[in-house]
Amino acid sequence: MARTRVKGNFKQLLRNGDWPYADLPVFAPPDMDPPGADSPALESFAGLHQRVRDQFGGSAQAYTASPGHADTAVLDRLMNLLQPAPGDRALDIATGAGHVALAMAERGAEVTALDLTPAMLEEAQSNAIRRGLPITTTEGAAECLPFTGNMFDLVSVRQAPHHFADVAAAVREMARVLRPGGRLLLVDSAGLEDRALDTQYDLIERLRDSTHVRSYTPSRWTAMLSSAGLLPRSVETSLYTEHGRPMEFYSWTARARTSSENVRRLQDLLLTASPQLRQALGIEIAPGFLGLCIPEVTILAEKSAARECDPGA
Amino acid sequence: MARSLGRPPLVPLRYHGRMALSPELLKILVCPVDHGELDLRPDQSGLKCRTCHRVYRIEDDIPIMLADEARIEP
Repeated sequence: MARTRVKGNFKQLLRNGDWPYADLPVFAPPDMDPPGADSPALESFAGLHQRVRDQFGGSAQAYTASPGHADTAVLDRLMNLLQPAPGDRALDIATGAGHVALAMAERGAEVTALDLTPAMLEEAQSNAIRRGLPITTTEGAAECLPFTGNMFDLVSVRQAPHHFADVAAAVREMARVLRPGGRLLLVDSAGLEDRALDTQYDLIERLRDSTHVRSYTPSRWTAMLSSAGLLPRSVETSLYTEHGRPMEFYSWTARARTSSENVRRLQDLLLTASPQLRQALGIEIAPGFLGLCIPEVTILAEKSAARECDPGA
Repeated sequence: MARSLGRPPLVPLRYHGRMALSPELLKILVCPVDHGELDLRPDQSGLKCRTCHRVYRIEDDIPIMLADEARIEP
């Protein structure tokens, strides 16, 4: 494929109609509404699910050591928020290398870890054995959880909903499997509340990662969770960093196996970013260093006591 | 089960060799498509939904609870 040279900044590209990204897959409509009840049947997600597996199957071990995922100070902060208690039944959705699952198990919860990628589950299971923490593992999709309703005291999901084919279905499923009064801990990359900036951020994510579907804004999350009967108790936004620094651009793209074509496109977009985008993403441009931070949202929500789901429904 | 020889194991005994699917997990698993009850195959090779007859494979003690990986059996 011939290299597409990106000239000018994002706004100029839009204005000139010179849009070099026609080959990007589009999952979520640009107005950020997640797919609704009329979304395609779950079997048809097989394509996206397969690409997620292909991508994460080859990089499972990288996530055990990933500084942003393994950081114990971050995990401690999340556990202080979630407050798992001994004997709690917990579900960690899209567990990856199992960091959150093991943090809950360490505090006495009985944890079931779910992931779409078998290699990730093996990685989580071997980390569990190494640390002597028993967890059970199940291969499954967030959009149709294979568990009885009202079954879990705690549900956690970190750095994953932006990969979900149908996030609304996933939220309904989290609400279904939680018992009334049970708590959800959700951490994910966050869309920007400013529409124009968010469109640019979304493009950056999708150029980097072909399995990126959408990062939702904190206000969107609050609305989605509330309508599923999950009442947000705490919503925090921050910038995702590694060791307190912006993520180094080239290792960030290498982890997602970004094509060299897209690495060049991204590099051009970051270098020509408007001051507003530079601020929103904490883009750092210094001699010999290009880095950025990803906006992140951390939500603790509680299933309303009135919302007991029919276990068979 | 007592171990007669050697040093204590590096990992808990329950992890040695093949571990059957945890009974705790079996209690909470349902079919992801219709939430039907599941029956464990006698040879532990899979879980079959009583309502839609989808069979979910169990590989390395991990149940594969994906509709697009399941096989519908009579």
